[in-house]
Amino acid sequence: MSGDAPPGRRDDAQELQDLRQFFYQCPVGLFEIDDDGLVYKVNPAAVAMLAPAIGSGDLAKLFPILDQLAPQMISVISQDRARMGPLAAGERILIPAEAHGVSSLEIRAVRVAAGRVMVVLLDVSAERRLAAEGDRLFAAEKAAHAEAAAARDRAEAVS
Amino acid sequence: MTNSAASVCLIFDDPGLLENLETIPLDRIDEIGFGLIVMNRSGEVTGYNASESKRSGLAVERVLGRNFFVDVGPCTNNYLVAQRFLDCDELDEQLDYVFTFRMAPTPVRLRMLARAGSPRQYLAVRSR
Repeated sequence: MSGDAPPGRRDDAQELQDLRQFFYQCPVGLFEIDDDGLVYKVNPAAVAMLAPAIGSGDLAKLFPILDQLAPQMISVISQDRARMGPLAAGERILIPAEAHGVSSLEIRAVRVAAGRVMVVLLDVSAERRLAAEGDRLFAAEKAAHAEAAAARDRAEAVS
Repeated sequence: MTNSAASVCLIFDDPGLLENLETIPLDRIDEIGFGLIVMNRSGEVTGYNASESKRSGLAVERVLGRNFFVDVGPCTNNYLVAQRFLDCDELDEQLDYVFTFRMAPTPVRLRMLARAGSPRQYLAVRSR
């Protein structure tokens, strides 16, 4: 680190590197696109989540992917281009995640500036699994109560 | 590969690529014309060649010793890539994929390679 380097210059470079690393490691999928779906930035989590839908595509544009998964998001993004902030409530989709399984993803879109939209992908598979497990336990408990009541009725009828 | 002075000339699509990679010393991988990540069987990076470092913008010293699928190339941390290495002791498969070099979508062709019983596994990367 030579003393000839302009003051602050190295800090800017380091800050950029740190910022890039921050988005690289972010477990939430992030895209920066324009109003026509052209992809400017994408982080690794977004690719990891959408890879089954991307296939041999190049991901230059997001709309062909959304067209497969959540077509209504395209009109949400491309219509009313003056609207800023969150563009719609999160939409949930299913996508292959392993040989015989699926992931549940939530997609959100936020217009952060004119012509710049951030698309956010959240993996909500764990939440979905917990809800399914809760439903299963509730159904099992209900069935057990019904069985116990039937047994009581049969015992009372005998006596 | 026995002559250390001979230049390393490996072809991405060569059916014998895995055999050649198994014999190449890590200090010669910068001579390979496509991107190459060498890992141990836990996914820890033991070699990262100049071609891959240049495209990713990640310095070799930042990458060595880190888990590739978690820390270096998290875009591959799914059933299509990382899980293939976990599931297969022997592996030689190609896949069109998208990397996120410098946060830009970059279409690549991957070749996932591992030989049964070897302490190494490889991810070869070329543009498409």
